[in-house]
Amino acid sequence: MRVLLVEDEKDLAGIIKQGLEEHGYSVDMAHDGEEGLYMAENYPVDVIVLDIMLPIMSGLDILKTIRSNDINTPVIMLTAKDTVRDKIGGLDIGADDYLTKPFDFDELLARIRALLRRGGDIKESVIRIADMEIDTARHEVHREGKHLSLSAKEYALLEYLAYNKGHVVSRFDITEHIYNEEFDLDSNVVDVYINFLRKKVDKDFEQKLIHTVRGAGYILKGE
Amino acid sequence: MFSSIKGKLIAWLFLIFSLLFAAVAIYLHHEIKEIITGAVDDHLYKEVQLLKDLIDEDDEISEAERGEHSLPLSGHYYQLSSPDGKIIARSPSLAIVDATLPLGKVDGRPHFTEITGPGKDRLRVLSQHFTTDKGAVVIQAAETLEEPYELIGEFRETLFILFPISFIISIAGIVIITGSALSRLDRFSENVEQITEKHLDRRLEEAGLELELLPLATAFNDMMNRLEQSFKRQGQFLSDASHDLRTPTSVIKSHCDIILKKKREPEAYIEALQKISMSSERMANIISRILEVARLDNKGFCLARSDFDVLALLGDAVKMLEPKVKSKDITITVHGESISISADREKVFEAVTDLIENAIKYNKRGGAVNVALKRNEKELNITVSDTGIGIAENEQEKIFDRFYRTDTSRGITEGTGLGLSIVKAIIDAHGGRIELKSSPGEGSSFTFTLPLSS
Repeated sequence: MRVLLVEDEKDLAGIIKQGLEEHGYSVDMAHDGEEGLYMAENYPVDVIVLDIMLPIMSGLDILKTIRSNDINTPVIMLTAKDTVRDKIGGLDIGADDYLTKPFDFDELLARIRALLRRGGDIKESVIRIADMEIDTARHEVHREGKHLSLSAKEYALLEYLAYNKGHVVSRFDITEHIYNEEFDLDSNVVDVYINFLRKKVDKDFEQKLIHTVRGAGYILKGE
Repeated sequence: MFSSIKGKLIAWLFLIFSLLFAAVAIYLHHEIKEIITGAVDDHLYKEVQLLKDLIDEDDEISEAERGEHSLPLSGHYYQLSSPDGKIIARSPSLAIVDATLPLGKVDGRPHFTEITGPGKDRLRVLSQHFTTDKGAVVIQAAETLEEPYELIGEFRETLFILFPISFIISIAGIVIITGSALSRLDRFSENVEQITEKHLDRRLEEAGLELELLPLATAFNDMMNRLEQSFKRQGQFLSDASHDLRTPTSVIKSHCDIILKKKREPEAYIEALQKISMSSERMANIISRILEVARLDNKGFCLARSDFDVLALLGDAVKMLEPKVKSKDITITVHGESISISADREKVFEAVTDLIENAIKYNKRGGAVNVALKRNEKELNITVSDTGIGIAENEQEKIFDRFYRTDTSRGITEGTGLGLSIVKAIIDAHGGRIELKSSPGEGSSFTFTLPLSS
C-alpha cells in the first residue's frame, strides 16, 4: 500500500516514513504544500497523511483542491491544533480522519489500516479469503491455522491483493502501489514476487488462491 | 442607609426641605403679622382721626367726650386726656373696669405701644397729641390684638400640619422617582452580570438608554472591547505557543515510538537520540522565548538602563556570532562611530544579535552581512542588512507578529517564530522604531532607532 506523507517538519517526516516502511508501506514524501498537491494529484497513492500547516499551500487547501478534482483518496489530517473548530474544519472539507500532534505511531498505523479497509468491503483488521487469514495489524498470515512466514515485500504484495480481493489488479497497479519508483516498470519483478508468494501461500495447499488473469494481471479469490 | 443613593437623597431632601420650610414659615409668619398689625394700625389711625374730628366738629361736648363713642366689650377702646394725664373721657369698656391707658410719650407724632389691657388681653394703643379748639388733648385709641393673634396662631398650626404632610408626599415622590431611576441601574448591572468569561463578546445595549446611563454603557463597552482583545491575544498566544511546542514534541514521540518498535543497531538509537536531543533543545528554546515574551508583555517590566558604547556592543555581538559566520563563509562588516547611549544593554544586545543571527541564518553561503551605526540629533540608527533570501512583500507586514514564520523559514527547524517579535518588543520598550526593507532574492535590511535621551 502506498502512502503519501505531506509534512514540512523534515525530522518528523523522516522518522514516520521509516516507521511506515518498516510496516510494509511504500512512502512518498512531500515537504511543502505545492509538492504535496502535485503528488496527491499525480501519484497512485492509497492514503494521504496530510499536515495542515505547510509552506506555500496549507493542508486544508490541498484537501479542498483534490476533493474538488474528484480525487477521493482517503486523507488523514495531522494537526497541531486541537480546537474542535480545526477538526471540524478539516472533516467538513473532506478529510476522512485526523490525528492531533503529538500522536501515537500505532494509532497512525491503525487509522491508516481503517481507511484502507473502508475502500473495499472489508470491515475488520483481519482479512479472510477461504481458509487464509491476513492479520493486517500484526502482519501475520495463516492458512488452515498454520503460520506462513513471508518477507516484508511478499507480505505487502499479498496485503495489496487482499485489500482488492475478488478484483483483478494489474502488474502496473502492483508496482505503483507496493514498490517505490526505484523499480523499472519493464522488469518482471512483480512476476518474481508473485512466484515467491505462490510458493509460500499456495504450493502446500490444495486450494489455490492467487490466480493469473491472462493479459490483465492477478486476482486473489477463494473459488 | 447613607451608603445608598436613595438614603442620601432622602437625607439631603429632609435637610433642604426643613430649612426651606422653616424659612418660608418664618417669612410668611412675619408677613402675616405685618399685614394684620398693619390693618390694626390703619384702623387705629382712622379711629384717632375720627375722634379728633368728632371733637373738632362738635361745638358741644361731643359723643366722644361723653365717652359714648364705642361699645363696651367690643375690643375697641379709646381715651381722651389732657397732656398732663387728666382723663377727659374714656370708652365704656375702660370706664366699666376703671382702667386707663398709659399716657406714654406725648409729642405731636403718633405713637404705638402694646400693653396688657383690662381684660388681660393684649392691646395695641395709638397715642397722639392734638391741639383742638377746645385745647390740647391726647387722643388714644386701642384695639385688642387677641383676634389677630388667634389668626396668626391658626396659620402657624396649619403650617405645622402642612409641613409633615408635604414632607411625606415629597419623600414618597423621591422614593418613587429614585426607585424608578435606580431600577435602570439594577437592569444595567443585571446585563453586566451576564457578561461572563464565556460570553466576552456580549455588550450592553446602548440604544434606548437614558442620557445619564449612555456614557456609562459606552465606557463599559469600550472597556469590554479592550478586555476581549487582550483575552483573545492571550488565548491566541497560548494556542500559538502550544502549537509550536507540539511539533518538536511529536518529533520526539514519533522517534521513540518507531525506534522502540523493534530491536535495532546501536547507530539507529544514537541517531534517534540525537534527533530527540535537538528537538528537546528546540523546545527549551521555544519555552525560554515564550517566557521572555511574557516578561516583556508584563506592565511591570522595566529596563535596566546603563550608559554604554553602542559600537562596542555591536563588536561584541559580531564576535559572539563568529562561529556561525565562519561556518557559512559570510563576510560581516561593522561601520560607524563610537556613540554612547543610556539603555538596557542586555536587551539591546539581544535585539542586535537576533537581527544579525537572522541575517546569517537566511543568507546564502559566502554572502555578506553589513551592520551600520549612525546618529542624528535625537536618535541613533542601527541597520543590519544581508544578501540573503529576502522576505516576500505580503509577509513583510506579518514578520513582527508572534509565532509568524515565513514559508521559507519553516524549513529551518530551529526557528521559534518569536525572535523578531521579541526584537520589536525590546525596541518598543526603549521608545524606538523598527523598519524593514526587503526584496526577495536580494536580501533584507532591518533598521531600528533608539532615542539618545531617555
